[in-house]
Amino acid sequence: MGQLLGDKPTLLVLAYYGCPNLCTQVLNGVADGLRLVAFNAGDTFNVITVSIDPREQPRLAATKKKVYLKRYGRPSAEKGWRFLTGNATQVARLAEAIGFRYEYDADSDQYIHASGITLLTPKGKIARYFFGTRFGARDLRLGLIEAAEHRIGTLLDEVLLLCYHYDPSVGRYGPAIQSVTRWFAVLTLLALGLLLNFLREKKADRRAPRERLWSFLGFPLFPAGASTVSGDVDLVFLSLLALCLFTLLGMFFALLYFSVRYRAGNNTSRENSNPRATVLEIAWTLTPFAFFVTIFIWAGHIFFVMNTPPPNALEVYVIGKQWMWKFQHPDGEREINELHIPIGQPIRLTLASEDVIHSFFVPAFRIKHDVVPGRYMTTWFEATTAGEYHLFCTQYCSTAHAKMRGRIIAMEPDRYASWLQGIRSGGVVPNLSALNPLSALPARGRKLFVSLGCVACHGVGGKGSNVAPTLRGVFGRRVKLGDGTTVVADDNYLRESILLPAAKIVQGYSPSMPSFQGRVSESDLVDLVSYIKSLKLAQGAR
Amino acid sequence: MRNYLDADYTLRSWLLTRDHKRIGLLFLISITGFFVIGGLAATVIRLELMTPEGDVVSADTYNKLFTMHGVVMVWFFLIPSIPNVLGNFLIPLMIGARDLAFPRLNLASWYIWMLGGCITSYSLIRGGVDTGWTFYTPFSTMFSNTHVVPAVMGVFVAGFSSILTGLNFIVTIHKMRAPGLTWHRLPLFVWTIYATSLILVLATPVLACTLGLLMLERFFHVGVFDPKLGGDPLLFQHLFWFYSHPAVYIMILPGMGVTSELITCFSRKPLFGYTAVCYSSLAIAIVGFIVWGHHMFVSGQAVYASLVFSLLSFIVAIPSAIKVFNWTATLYKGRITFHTPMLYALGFIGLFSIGGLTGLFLASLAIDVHVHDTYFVIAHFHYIMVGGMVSAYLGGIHFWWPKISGRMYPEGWGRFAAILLFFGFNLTFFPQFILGYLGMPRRYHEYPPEFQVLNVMSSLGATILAAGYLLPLCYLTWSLKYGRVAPPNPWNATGLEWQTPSPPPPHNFEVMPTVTEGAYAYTVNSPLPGEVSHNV
Repeated sequence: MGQLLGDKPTLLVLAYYGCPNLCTQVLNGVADGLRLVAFNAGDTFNVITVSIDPREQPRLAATKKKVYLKRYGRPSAEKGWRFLTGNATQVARLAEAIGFRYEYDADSDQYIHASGITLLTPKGKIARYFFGTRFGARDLRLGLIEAAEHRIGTLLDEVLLLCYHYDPSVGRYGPAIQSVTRWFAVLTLLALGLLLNFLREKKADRRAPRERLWSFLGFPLFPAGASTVSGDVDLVFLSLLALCLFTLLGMFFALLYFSVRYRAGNNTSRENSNPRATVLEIAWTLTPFAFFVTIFIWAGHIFFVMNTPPPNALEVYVIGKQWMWKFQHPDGEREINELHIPIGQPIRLTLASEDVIHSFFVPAFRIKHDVVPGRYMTTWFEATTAGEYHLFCTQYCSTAHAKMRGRIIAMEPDRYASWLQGIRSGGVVPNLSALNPLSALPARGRKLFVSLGCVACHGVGGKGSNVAPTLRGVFGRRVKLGDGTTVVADDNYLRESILLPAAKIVQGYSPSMPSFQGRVSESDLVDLVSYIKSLKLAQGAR
Repeated sequence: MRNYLDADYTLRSWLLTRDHKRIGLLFLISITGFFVIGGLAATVIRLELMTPEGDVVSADTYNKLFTMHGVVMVWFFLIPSIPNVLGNFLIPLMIGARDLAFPRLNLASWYIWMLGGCITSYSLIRGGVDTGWTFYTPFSTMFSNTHVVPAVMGVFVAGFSSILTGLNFIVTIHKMRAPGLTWHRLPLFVWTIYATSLILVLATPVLACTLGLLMLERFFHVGVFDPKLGGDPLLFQHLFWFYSHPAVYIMILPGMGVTSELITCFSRKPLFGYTAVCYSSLAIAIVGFIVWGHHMFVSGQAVYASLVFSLLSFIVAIPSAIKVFNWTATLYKGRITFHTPMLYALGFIGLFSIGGLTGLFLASLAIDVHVHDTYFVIAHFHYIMVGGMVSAYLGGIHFWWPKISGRMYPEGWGRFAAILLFFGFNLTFFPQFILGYLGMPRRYHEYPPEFQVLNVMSSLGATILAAGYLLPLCYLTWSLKYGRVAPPNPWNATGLEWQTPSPPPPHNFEVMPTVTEGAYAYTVNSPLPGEVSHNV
């Protein structure tokens, strides 16, 4: 056996040729894997297959050899890949030496055995085990280089081996550089965490909304997050911050070092002071680019989540006007400058403006969206911590812009339920200003539908007539227009059709509807739109 | 032999001059006036923000103050600062020409710009404007009761001055370079002014159209931007930022040019990676045109559009990064002296880097949602505009002051002011990054009490900053009469502008120069800046 090893690394495969499934898989895996490795069996390394079944004869081994050499397809393997057989003790000793377990099962006349191959160094020491039936080309190549004690392969392989290390838990060469960077990330986060740990939580002012800020020596430094996305936003922020600090420190160090070392008075070597360094220039162009793309994708992904309200979200209408925020809950409760919401429940906000552009910003939730007149905007959040949070208008809207502030009151679901109960029963709920409990939005919308005369053409319950299409079930449906195009009847479409009915006429109808621009306020529109949305088709109808 | 200052002393000779150097000085004096107006507005703003309550001025006054600060600083100081003052003075000198290609047009530029300045000032005198410098619709067209039209008209008119100046520079740089001065021998200041001029010529007409539409809607209620009239408010933002984002590069590119001149001169080294720095200016000018949507990530712009704008905004940061790395590498094995202009240049690199890197936070979509329209944005662009552009401007003014005035400024005071400005600037604007992430919105007349500590720090810094700006104003004026007489080349710098007397004769060169080598041909044996005063 030792003679067969020669001065090359050897891949030792224990199998038996009559094996009905597993051994074939292993041998196929070896042949396929080696086919993708540039080294030739026989030239730089050997492969030895040994049958564990002592009953098998060399003749069978020779036929198998033919099959696998054809599959492998390299001429050098003729002498480099051997197929051996042996008696029971020889095989047992070999298996024992490399730690390969197998057992004969008389019932099925088969061997129960491990699936894996062994890589030996030229001196016959075990370098690696590879488990399974498929063997990656990169794993085999790097394993061979290591087993050959680095006498084969190229410089590039050496560099790769610095970065890749064999990971026994998965049995592959994993990129070690990843774990290095992972440790770097952990260290950075630890450092940041330690910093945060040193920062005391600011004593809250009883009168102001309870914003939790992390401060250091009385200087507030970082806001605590309170929504499902706040942690993600903070993480990408802090990672980018760490990256930028790293870059800045490196650069400032270089500036300082050069300034001191190469100051005019200092007598230091200035030979070869104008090196051409194209590689350096390319490196500092491509490296930032790689980092930028990473951050772009990461932050873009979170942004996507921020712009995709979950389907089970509770819908709240927000109307911004100079200089107040009006909220309408789905069941009709109204609030001004205060919004009570349950935690753990996604809230979808439909934003409308009565006048100029405003912007809805809740720093603790890390969300912001402009509120633009003339259309509905949508954003959403899910609060995770109960508390009171600032709501700011961040799009400058004239005189009292800085007073257009409010509070978001996030409550435990049970407290929220009792708060709702309190309003509905007309009971006094503390801390509630300007509360106007009325009937539900659709009910109010129905009244408007009648009083504005919509009912005359669109019919009672939105049945439709020969001058106006039915509104029952229109919400969310594709509507065919007179010019042949189709639009989805969403909030914005319903809103536009009330204010500018001539803009998109449904196919088969004439533009006879008057505009309601100036006759209905944004809150009336919200009521009307909710009413139309409530007009569902009967079960089974389409 | 008379120089351009002594050529004639009459007021008429100044007001009707066609000498690019005198026109540069006309701009210098007028933008300094506007800088003082904008600075005073900022002073009252910082005073107001010392306390959380709105107690110094009324909310309406506050709104007019920050509008005035923005409009004046952007269009009547930053945009004309380096291009119209240093560019006018230096471009013909640097390329070995007798004047700009169109001297009369150049004078017209100043008159048009002054007319714009007067119209905008008129709106300020009549009670001011409260729309913010961005003039967002429909507020500016249908809601504001202040003098929006004169303010907008002033900016509209001043834009024509930008276009004419840009045109003049482009033609001059193309057609009037001295024999032997090929494109790749041009000083980088000329390259950046060239890139800036391209933006001025291509972007400013869009601003003119936008402001024209704004005035139409305000006067005649033509529905362009107001949804009640069938318009689209976001259209205004797209048009406005299509100009105003490239305008940011109008404001910073010339600063990069000045820095390249200063770093090479005071480290006695050719610029590292000259070619990369040249073309990065053009890359910034071109890519800068397609990133405007990053101002609108939360405005209701489509998510996919935002994704594209985000990626492009990251890409436009790369040429800036290249420049910063190249300046740093230029110091390597140099012989560095720390005169005032060099202190400004080093300050520029540091502050611009912080400004640039924080720009990455704003380009990252999810982060931008949180910090958009907060003090984070304010801090970011002040690091670029004030930390970057104003540092470079002051560095350039000190560097070429001997050439402009024929006198040396007092070096000790110069260094002191440069260091004072650096610390004052950081104290003013660094706390605003933290305020921004904490969630303090911009344009707030009053704010929740937890933001006070950082605002007080910022206001303290602003006091130091104000003192820092007053110093050069005083000692540079003083030096006009009492400063040491400047030799032709006090810094022993390369560049054609230093090969003619200080101040230069009316037509710049007694003998037309010929160029035989690239820019910044400094060697190990070149005498240091200042040594030259003994030799000449």
